[in-house]
Amino acid sequence: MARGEDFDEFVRGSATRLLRTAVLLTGDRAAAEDLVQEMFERVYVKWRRIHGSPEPYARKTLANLSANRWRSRSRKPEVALADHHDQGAPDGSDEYAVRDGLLTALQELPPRQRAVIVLRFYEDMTEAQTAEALNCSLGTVKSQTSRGLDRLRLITEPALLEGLR
Amino acid sequence: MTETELKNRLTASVDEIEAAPDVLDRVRQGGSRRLRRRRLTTLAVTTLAVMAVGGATLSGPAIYHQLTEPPVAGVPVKNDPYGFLMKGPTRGDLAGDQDYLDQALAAWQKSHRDSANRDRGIFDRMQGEPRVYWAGKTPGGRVAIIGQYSDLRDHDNIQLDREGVHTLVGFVADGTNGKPTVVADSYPAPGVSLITGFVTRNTLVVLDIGKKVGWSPAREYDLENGGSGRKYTSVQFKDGVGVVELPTDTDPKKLALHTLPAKGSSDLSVAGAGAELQGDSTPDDRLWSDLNGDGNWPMSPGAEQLASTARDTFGNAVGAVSDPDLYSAAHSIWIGYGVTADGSAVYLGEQQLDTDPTRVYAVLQPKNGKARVISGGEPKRGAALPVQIRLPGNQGWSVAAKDATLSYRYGEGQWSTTSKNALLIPHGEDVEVKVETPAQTETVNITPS
Repeated sequence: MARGEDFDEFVRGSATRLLRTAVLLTGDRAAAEDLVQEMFERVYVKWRRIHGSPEPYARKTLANLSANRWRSRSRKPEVALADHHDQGAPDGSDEYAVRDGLLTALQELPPRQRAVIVLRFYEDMTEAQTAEALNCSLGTVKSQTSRGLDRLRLITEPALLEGLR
Repeated sequence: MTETELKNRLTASVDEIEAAPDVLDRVRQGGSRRLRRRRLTTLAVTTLAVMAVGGATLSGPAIYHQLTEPPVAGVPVKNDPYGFLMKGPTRGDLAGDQDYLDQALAAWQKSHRDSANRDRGIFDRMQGEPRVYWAGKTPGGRVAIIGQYSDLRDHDNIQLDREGVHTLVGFVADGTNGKPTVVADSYPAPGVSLITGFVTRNTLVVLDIGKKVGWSPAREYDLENGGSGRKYTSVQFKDGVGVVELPTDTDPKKLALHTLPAKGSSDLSVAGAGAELQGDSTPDDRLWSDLNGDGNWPMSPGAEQLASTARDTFGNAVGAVSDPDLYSAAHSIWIGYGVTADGSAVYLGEQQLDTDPTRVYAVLQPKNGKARVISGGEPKRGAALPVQIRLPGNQGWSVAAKDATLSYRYGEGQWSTTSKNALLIPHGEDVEVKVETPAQTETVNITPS
């Protein structure tokens, strides 16, 4: 594939959705934009070698970059994600509070659990696809999903649950 | 919190986020910079290699790696999945045919450039010499299985959680010209099943990994009980490999291997088989995925109470009887739900496993008792009423046609009240369904004599 209209179309068509995934993975709009930018640049370089739909490759790259970011963070601490230092002020509506609350809850999960939850339940990836994207075993995905859901339930309920009903 | 609720909440959490309008420009600029950097790096490596000519004997890439990376480790890791390939003398009835072994090794060494795994960098740091683990005659022609150590590193096209020296495997068979040709190669990729088998012509060759292993020609669907799965036949190993002559109607892409007794997803696979190894080409074959809106389809009066749990109930029931050894399942985007005359809940939807055709199912949940899955088989694409499932126990039919207004009648009686997209029809004789769309109206008899 040449990097022409096809590539432009792919970026235009997928940028918003992949940015949303990146926000869930990072909890941080600015970090998510950086991740998506780097991911698209890598896809650009590999474009001619990608056969078929570029979407799975892009998602996998995003997940891997996100994992690398966690590794960097473990060496060099960044500002805590839950601080929302770069988010706009809440508008006060219940809906906004709920959205903000879920993002906060998600960031309280360990990085691997968070990624598994986002890929499985937001990106609708299968356990096998999630395992491949995160370079881990199926068993790890299953156990991380279970633990992640348990923790998310503990963190979000009952306040968040009530907020959405 | 159900999985559906979680998905809805995750979606709601980010649904106001939009990509910046200049994202494409920035990506193109950044991507071009990266490309230029890569080209400059390549040029630098080539220059170093040229400088080495006549002096040192190091190749370009070797110099590059010496400059940029620590010295490679030469000791294989513990628990190397293909490590057994490097041990013991060559096996098989062609083990003494040195001419054939040499040809197979030469084919292996020439094959890396064209390998699908080349971009993953698995051949960048080969260690030592390759060796033939097994060479023999099979019904599919001569076969050789080759092993060679390689120092696997994290690579921008694949991340490895097991870096270090591992054994690569090469499967060699007679090509169309009769000469040994590498059919497939592999490495121990984390999170992905281990390739221990490959097909040449009508023969499946399977590596003996020291466990009981079965092979299956394809997934089977049980129309009676709504389930799906595979039946495995034990592979008989001799001298390190198992050789299975395949029935003529076998589709190599549908073959599977599993340790026995088979339970859950398999850690073994056949080269080139299964949706997992067909990568991005997995098609979305679902009957209806372009809904652009609400896919919740009440099928009878009083069905509204089922709306919030319909997807989970359907998905859990169908998932419980589905083949657990799959790469991906495409779930139903639409869901029909209704209540039968005896108060049972009925759910209607579809499911596609891997690259198989999509299938439609009804789930019948009695007031008391276990849910039952009823298979409707493959939907009749292009028909006026693509989904028609007869429910057991005289509970009637559930039918669906996207964007259609549906009603029914018995014999020449009155038409029922209408329902959009999906409809639950109580038991009766000589049932006709009227399918109205803006383009046409068609009557379908779902109880043909």
